[in-house]
Amino acid sequence: MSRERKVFETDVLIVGSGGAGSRAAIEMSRKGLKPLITTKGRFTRCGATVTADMDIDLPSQDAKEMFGLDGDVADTPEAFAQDMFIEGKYMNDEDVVLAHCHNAAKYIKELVDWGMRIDDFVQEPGHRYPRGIVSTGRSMMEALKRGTRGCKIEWCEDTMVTNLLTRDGRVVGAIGINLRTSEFVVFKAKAVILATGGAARLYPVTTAPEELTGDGMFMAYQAGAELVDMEFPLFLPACLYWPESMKGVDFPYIFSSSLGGWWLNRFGVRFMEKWDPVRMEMGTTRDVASIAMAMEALQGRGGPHGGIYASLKHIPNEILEYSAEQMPWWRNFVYGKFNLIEFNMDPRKVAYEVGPAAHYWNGGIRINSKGETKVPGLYAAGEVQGGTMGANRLSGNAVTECLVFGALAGGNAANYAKSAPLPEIDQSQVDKFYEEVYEPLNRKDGSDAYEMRSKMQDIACKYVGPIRQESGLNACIEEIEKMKKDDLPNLATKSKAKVYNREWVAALENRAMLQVLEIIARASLMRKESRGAMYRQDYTGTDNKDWLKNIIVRNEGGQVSLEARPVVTTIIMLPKREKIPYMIPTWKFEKRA
Amino acid sequence: MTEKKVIRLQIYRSLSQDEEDEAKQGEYKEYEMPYIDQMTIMNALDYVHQNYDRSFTYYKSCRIGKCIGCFVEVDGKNKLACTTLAKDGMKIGPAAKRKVIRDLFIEEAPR
Repeated sequence: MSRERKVFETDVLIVGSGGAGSRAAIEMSRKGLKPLITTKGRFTRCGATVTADMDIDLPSQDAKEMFGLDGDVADTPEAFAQDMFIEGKYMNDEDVVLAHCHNAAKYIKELVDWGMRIDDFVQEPGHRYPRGIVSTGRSMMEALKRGTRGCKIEWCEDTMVTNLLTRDGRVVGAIGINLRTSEFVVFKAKAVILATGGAARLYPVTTAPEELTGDGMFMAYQAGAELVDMEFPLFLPACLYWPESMKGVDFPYIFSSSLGGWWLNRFGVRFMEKWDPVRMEMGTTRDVASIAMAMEALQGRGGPHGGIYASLKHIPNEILEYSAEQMPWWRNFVYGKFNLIEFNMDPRKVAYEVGPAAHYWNGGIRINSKGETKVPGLYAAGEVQGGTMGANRLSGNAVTECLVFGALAGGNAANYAKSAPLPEIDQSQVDKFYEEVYEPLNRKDGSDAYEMRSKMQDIACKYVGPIRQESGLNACIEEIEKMKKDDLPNLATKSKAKVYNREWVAALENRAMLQVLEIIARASLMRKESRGAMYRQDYTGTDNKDWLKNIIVRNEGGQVSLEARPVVTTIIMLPKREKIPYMIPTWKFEKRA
Repeated sequence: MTEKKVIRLQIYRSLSQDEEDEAKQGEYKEYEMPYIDQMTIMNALDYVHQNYDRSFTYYKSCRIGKCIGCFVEVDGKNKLACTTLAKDGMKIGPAAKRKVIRDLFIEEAPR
């Protein structure tokens, strides 16, 4: 079946229109170039940024000096960086972290100038000073939209980029499909910025929107870039596991830290007394909390849907009603869209069944502080990048990351494109991808994309959730190899619809998801310790003697190649080279009243 | 709630899968499905797509009331599919005052 092919030529192609992608586009436009930005959905109507229940971090001194907030001038970008390293369990990339901390305030100021609301200013667990400006993802995206006004940007919505084009080891563009017409699209570009978010959709319970299926990580891996820290997907604790319609919703987690919610197992016991007795529900960090919840459920103390319970019922209604009304979190949630009363989810009346939900990708495409990958012409920004957060992320840092690195990658890609030659694409590569992309549509019968999706999510949850161990990881890899042989090459959509074929999109996304799943499993197997967001039941200590290393992932002739590389820093002090029990908070955290 | 409940919804379907439905010439089809507690219209759309007709199409992104992308017309009013409880007998069509592309998938207003 021959399909229409459309060809676009641009200086820089940006894949993804969330916080990072749109900020990159603005920066490029400032440099006098006209970027082309593609998105699987619609600008401000897709991606993770807009869903953020948000705090956005900057050094406390800048919060005071730039915005008049109750910040502490004792804080510096270096102190912020140190906290990121402590939280990231020293897996972070020092150059990337320093770029993040030094640029946060400058780019957040612009967002506020473009109209982003400041609802509150908070100190979240893990930060030694208050650094979090509270707002909403919606407010941030609307501000970015205002920032794009007056910019020359070419928009390609309803467009899925599926593969990068390379030639002589450089990226020269990409190919994809127009979802509205099923037309094949070729993008010739001097540089490509991947701003495609994470792969949280690999897990059955997630806070992430539909599009986050690891497309960018897959494409970069295929094109010869390195991935890093892929074994550390971040789970957000206390997200709803039930009802089905609200799976992955995170408000019980937010209530736990803002309103003193309790986490109970099915015996009514506050199990955090065992896992984090000093900080408890209100002061704990996401890594410990997710592991605690997962263990409680795994050991049979959970609820009917695999979670534990979050409850505000011990708090008198008078307090709930008064206190909650004052809180931006509550207002932003309840006056958002779900009517909690209508859904029988009134916190005064019910406890919620909750648990860890896949939330954010700590690792990703390896970049330097300019957003460059090892492949000339290829950049990455936002959640898709690795090295900023190490093995675990501080609250509020994800949106700062996409803003800062969207701008940095956008600016650097623009500079590169100005002096780069017009790319020559490899037509045989384009033709090969053309055949691959239409296979699921052309094939009459074969494996079902949604069944394959379900299988991947089941094994992700079972084997590479917050709790892992060797036999599970081996079983996971076995299942993956089976799917690589049986399901993946035989995907056939039941629908051959030409206009907006969702099933076809799911089939194409499955390729990326399976590759990412394999990488997580293999990297987890290699790392014989527990650290940050990853916990191994068979190696429960953190091994700073042998494992103060990042696992770098590369595609070597179609095989996943892993390399453990020692962490190197110049100003951040590394911990003593010894084995320690998992999760001892290294300093006591005092929440300011 | 242990009894097996079902609900029936009427959902707009364009006539063609391969061409855009510019003139909105489709019709409402009835679909019956198992009812689960606190089921939303989005849950219903997913059920129809996965179990009855994979060509059935609609916009879905955050599915939790944040992206504001899944507007549909329900009994005369535009509502988000993902945060509106599904009720037996509901009539669901593409969001009013928007150009229909196919089924419930519409063109966004210029932004």
